[in-house]
Amino acid sequence: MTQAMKIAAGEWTYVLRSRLAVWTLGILVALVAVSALNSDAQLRAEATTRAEYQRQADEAYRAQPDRHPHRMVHYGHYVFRTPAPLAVLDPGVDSFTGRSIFLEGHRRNTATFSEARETSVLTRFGSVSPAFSLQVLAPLLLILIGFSSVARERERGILLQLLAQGTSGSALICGKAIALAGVAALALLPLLVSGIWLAITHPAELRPLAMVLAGHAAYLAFWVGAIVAVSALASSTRSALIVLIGAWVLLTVLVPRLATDVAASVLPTPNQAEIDIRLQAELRAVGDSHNINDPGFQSFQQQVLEQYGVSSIEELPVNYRGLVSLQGEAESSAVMDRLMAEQHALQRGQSGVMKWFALVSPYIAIRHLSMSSAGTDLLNHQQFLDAAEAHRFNLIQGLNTIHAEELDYADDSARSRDQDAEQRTRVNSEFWSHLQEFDFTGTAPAQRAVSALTLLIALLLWLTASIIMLRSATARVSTL
Amino acid sequence: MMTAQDATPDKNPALIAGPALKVSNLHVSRNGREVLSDLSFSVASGEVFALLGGNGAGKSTTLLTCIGLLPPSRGDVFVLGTSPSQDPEVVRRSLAYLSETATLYEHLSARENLRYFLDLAGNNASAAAIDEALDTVGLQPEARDQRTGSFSKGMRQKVAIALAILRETPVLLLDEPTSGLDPVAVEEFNQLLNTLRNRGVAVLMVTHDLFGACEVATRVGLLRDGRLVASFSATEDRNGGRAHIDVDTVRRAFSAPEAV
Repeated sequence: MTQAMKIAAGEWTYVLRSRLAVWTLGILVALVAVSALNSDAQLRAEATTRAEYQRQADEAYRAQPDRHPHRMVHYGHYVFRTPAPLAVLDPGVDSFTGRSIFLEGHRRNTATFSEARETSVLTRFGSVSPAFSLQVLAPLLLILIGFSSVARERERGILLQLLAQGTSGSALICGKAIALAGVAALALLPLLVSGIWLAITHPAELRPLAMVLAGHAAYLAFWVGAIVAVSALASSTRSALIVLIGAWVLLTVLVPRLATDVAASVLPTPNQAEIDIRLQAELRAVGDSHNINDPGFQSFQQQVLEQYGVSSIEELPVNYRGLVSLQGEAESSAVMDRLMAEQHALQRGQSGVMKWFALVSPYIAIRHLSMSSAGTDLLNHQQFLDAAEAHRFNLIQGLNTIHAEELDYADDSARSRDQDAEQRTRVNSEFWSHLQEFDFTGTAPAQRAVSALTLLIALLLWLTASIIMLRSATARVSTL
Repeated sequence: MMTAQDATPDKNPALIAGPALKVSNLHVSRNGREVLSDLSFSVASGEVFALLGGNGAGKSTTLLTCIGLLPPSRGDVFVLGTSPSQDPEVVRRSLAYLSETATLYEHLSARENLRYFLDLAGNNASAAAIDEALDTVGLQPEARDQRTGSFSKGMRQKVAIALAILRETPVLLLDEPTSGLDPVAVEEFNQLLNTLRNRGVAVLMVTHDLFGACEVATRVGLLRDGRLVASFSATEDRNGGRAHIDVDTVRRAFSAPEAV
């Protein structure tokens, strides 16, 4: 056994005989393990619930009686997002954004039923996930275990004793780092076990899974190096603890907060009220598709008449009311899509600004790497919203097409005053059974892994910085 | 019995043949101040050299320079012919150092401390050898498996000396070894030192305890402002008794404003 390994073994003996260290180690491993188990159970339950709700929603839609198609446009339909397999490790923004959307005509609703909104105040930020445990709590607990690793030996004179009998400074620093890395590895163990299980059950997720594991390993290795280096460079155990806690607060609390503020000031996004006012103004310009005489559709009427070579809407071979519904939905959707695309671009821009802060805080690097690899980041949420909107548009336009092609214009115009006409405008419920299933998959696993690569490089830069700190610490302990 | 007049100052200690430890024209500065100035002495095998001086005289600096933890600005130190500035690892494996506080890991027992430090030093002493060393230093058997956090300073000192015995290094450096020890413990320590001396170990001890130094050392050097101002050797008792250094002679030299 090398000197460094002997020192590592000695440090482990200290950890195992120190009540505080044992408790801290136990809490650390239990926290990650329990959060992984809890997250897994929660996602399984959610997946089951969602599948059931989706089935009920589909069934309810298909079970509708003979109806006017526009009644079905307003009846609407729910779609649910199936959580990404790696969400068990990192739920990412999903806890805050919601995973279900109500689809209806003329409106693009946002996702609802987020975990953070649906739970009590105590858990409003979502439950503790393995990612949160490893990214925020694990560094703090590693600090509690390792802050005194070298500093206490200097304070008690043991450092001098070790050096005087030929123990090299590099072996000492290396041994302390190996011992603390062992603690960090124990914390990573539940993630590794979950990862192996996920790799077996979802082989396609292997690459992003490897990225999540590599990212967390590099992140914790950075903290291990920094903790041992500060312990060696500090004049006392007290100052080592103060410096390390200060660094933890700065890197995991203050810098992320600052990054959010900087991103919001560089690329400000309008608030919901501003968006709603602008949307309503632009939708008014489109016109009301329920009213075929709305001025917004006069030029459309002219185009249709020219297209079919007729002089009045009554002569059209199709139901003009249905055509207006089709046109109105197309135009209002275009407005909503354009505004949403602007919003999404701004949000992605903000996310991009925040990612630059990965060079200021390793926590930001691992947070984005983890979410991006797991498919639970902002980009995947936006893709879900866009996919749901595309599904909504196809559903509504399908109903509007039935409206245009299956219903007689005269009956449709008279249905409010003629009972028989109203009956004839009811479409056979057979049509509702053609409802397409919503299937959202998000970014492909391989692409997710590739997109997280730059963040892994940022983490490796942080790891390099901590190795440089360790070298400086080695020089510091080797001489007085 | 020797008299004070029999103690003779060394004219040139560096000329002693085959020293285990040799300090040659050593200058050491700390924080911009010269702490050791042209310091020269040597310690032969089987010799106990006590470096006596007041606070700030440069005693601990001398030891740390011998270990290679402080670099000399001029001059050099040689342990068995090797300079710590050239090969600190080799030098450190040739010597044992006992700090004033006899530092041990408090969460380990006496036996575990010895095993750990010996392992790190690359020494595979057997359990029997460890027990024998603990017998030699007189640590009670019932204390050997207790964590050293509850040990008195004297008990810790015994474990530290046991470590030095087990490492079998030819050179032993002691920093204020009897500071804070009760008289019985001091007497036991002196006996241990004699044992080591008889085994041929070269001992350099720094202390401000004049009586203790004269009691145990074969030579005493006076260190003042980083300079060796005088040294005294014990000579054989005319009646065949144990050699010692006269306390009064050394005390007069210690109190004198100039070198003897």
